[in-house]
Amino acid sequence: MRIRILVLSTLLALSGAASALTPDDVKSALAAEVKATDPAFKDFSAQRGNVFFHARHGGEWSCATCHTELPAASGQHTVTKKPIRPLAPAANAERFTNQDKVDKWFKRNCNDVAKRACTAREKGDLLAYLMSVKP
Amino acid sequence: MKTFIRSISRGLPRGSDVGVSKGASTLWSRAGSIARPRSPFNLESLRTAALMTGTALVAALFMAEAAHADGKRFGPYPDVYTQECASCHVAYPPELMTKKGWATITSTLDKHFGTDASVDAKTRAALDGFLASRAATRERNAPSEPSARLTRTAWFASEHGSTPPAKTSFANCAACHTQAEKNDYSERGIKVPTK
Repeated sequence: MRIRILVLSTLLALSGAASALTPDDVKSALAAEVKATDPAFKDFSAQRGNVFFHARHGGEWSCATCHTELPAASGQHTVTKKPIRPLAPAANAERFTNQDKVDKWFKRNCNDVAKRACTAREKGDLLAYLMSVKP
Repeated sequence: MKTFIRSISRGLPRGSDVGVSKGASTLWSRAGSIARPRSPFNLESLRTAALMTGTALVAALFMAEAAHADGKRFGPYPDVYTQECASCHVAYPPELMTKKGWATITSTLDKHFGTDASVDAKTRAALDGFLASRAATRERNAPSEPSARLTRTAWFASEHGSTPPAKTSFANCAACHTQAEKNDYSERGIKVPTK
C-alpha cells in the first residue's frame, strides 16, 4: 500500500511538472502586460495577428517566410533549409509551453522580421492567431 | 587505418572515437583473459594464446577502421549546444574551428549572419566552455575573415572549394552530407544534389 501511494504521488508530481505552462497561460501573461499600460484593453485579435504573421515589417522576411503561410505545417529555415516543426499549438503541443523559449524566440525573431522588439500586444495577437489555426 | 593510427597519436579524442577505442580494448582484454595459459611451460597453450591474441588484435583494428570510416563523425553534444546552436542549422562540429573563431561567433550572436541568435549570459558561458573544450588547434581551422565563418576556413575550402553546389548553401551541410543530422560527415553519406 505504501509503495502504491509512493508511485501515485510520484506520478502526480511528474504530471504537474510536465503541464507547467499552456499557451493560454502565456497569452494571459501578455494580456496582463498590455493592461498595465492600457486599462481599456479587452482582448487580443487573431485577425490582427494573422495580418502581422503574413506581412513584412521593414525587413526581408515575414514570420511566414520560415514558418510557412500555414503555421500548422512544418516550416524550413530560409537560409539553411533546416526543418522547423509547426508553430501552431494545435499541430505541435510543445509550442508556447516554456516561457524562456517563448521569450527567447520572440526576441530573436522580432529582431529578424521587424528589426525591433515586438510589443506585448503584437505578441498576444500573434499567439491568438496561432492558437486559432487548426491542422 | 590511417585515421585510427592518427587518432591514437592525437591522444584519442572525442565522440565516437572514444566509443570505438573502448570497444577495441574490451575485445583485446577479453581475448587476453581467455587465452591466458595455465602453465608457463605449456607451449601448445602459449601458441594458442598468441594466435588468439593476434586474431583479436587484427579483428579489433578492422572493427575500429570500419567504425571510424574516414574519421568524420562527431558528437554527441550537450543539450545546451543542440538547443541553442542546432535549431536553425545542424550542429556544426566544434572540432572544425579554433577556439578564437568560436569566441567570435558567440560574442556576435545578436548579429549572427543576418539573424538574431542571442543567448543569455549564462548560456553563453556554457557554450563558450563547451566550444573551447572541443575546438580545433590547427591553423587551417582558424577563421579567415572577421565574421569567423566556419565555411571560410582554409580547411573548409580545401575540402569543399569556394562555391556550393547549385541551389544549396554551405550553411546547409545536410544538402550533401545526408547523415549530418546524426553528426556523421563520412564519405559514404555524401550525395551531392544534381539539380
